[in-house]
Amino acid sequence: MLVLYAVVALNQVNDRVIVPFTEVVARGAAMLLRGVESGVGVTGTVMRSPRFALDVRNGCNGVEAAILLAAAILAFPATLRSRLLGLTVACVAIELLNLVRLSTLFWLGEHYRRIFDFFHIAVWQSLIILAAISIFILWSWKFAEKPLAESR
Amino acid sequence: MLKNLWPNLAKGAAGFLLGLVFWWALSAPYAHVLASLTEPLIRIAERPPVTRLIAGGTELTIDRDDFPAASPRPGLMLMDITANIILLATLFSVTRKPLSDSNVPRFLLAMLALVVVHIAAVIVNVQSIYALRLGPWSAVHYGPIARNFWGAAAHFYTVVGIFGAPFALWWLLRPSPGSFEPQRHRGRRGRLSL
Repeated sequence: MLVLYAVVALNQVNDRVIVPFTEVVARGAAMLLRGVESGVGVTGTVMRSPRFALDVRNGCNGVEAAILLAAAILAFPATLRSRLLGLTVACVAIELLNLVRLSTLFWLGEHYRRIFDFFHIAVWQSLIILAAISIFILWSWKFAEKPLAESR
Repeated sequence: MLKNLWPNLAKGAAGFLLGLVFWWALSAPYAHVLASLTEPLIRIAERPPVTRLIAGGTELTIDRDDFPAASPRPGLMLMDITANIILLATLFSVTRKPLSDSNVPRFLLAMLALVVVHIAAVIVNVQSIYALRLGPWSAVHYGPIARNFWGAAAHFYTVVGIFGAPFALWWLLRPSPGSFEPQRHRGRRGRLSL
């Protein structure tokens, strides 16, 4: 986990991988939001409308939660195939959930600014990390039983 | 597995909502508690002791006797530090019997330990503000090693510690290792099933 965090903290990795990825995340969230809200545009990592703007920064792009999950999956005794499958499904699931998070946060910021911080800090942070824990537990249930069953 | 998944999800959702309400309702008084517990600890390491932590709502204002009277005081948002109470409440609610005699005292013990974590996090964040965010004052009073140490410590809590602490406390203090998992039992054909 420390290695993964150190890698994404490198300036070159941040500038060439994380920031472009965050721009894709911002565009994805804006696209999702356009289903219910018109006039949402994206410039770089900033989602904006005439009434509200949201800068998707490191920590908001789902990468940290994905790293936590990846570290747990890589550390867990399982086959390489199971780990790769777990990593792929887990990262996609976390990022999809993060798109929903960013869309709802933008919508709340635009319409209910007073409760934006509450949802940003308390509700969605907890939900994302709980989702990561739940995904890991489900994955470990699925793949932990295989060696046991195979050894009998 | 699905048989146990839905009750666990329901208990988790209830624990999440209770934790959210409990944390939100007690945020302001808890800020006063944290300020009164942390301020003496920060002052122990100061010669002379000058730091004062003033709780206002869910924010701590950091004041020092040696700051110029006209300069603005830095603040610390406690929501960013204490929101992990919700995670701890949710994790303890997903045991087989959340209100049992074994789970409740363990949850309270974990909450107490989390208060200690919050005190440490406030100290680290105050030191990080001193070391990094006060311009020339920071450069004069903190060397490069101290600046990197406090900056990295505050960043570590923000990224890993805030989630890692409640998870570790739950892992260490949960009633039994299998309580989160569905019961494993052997089916009629001897296969391991969930």
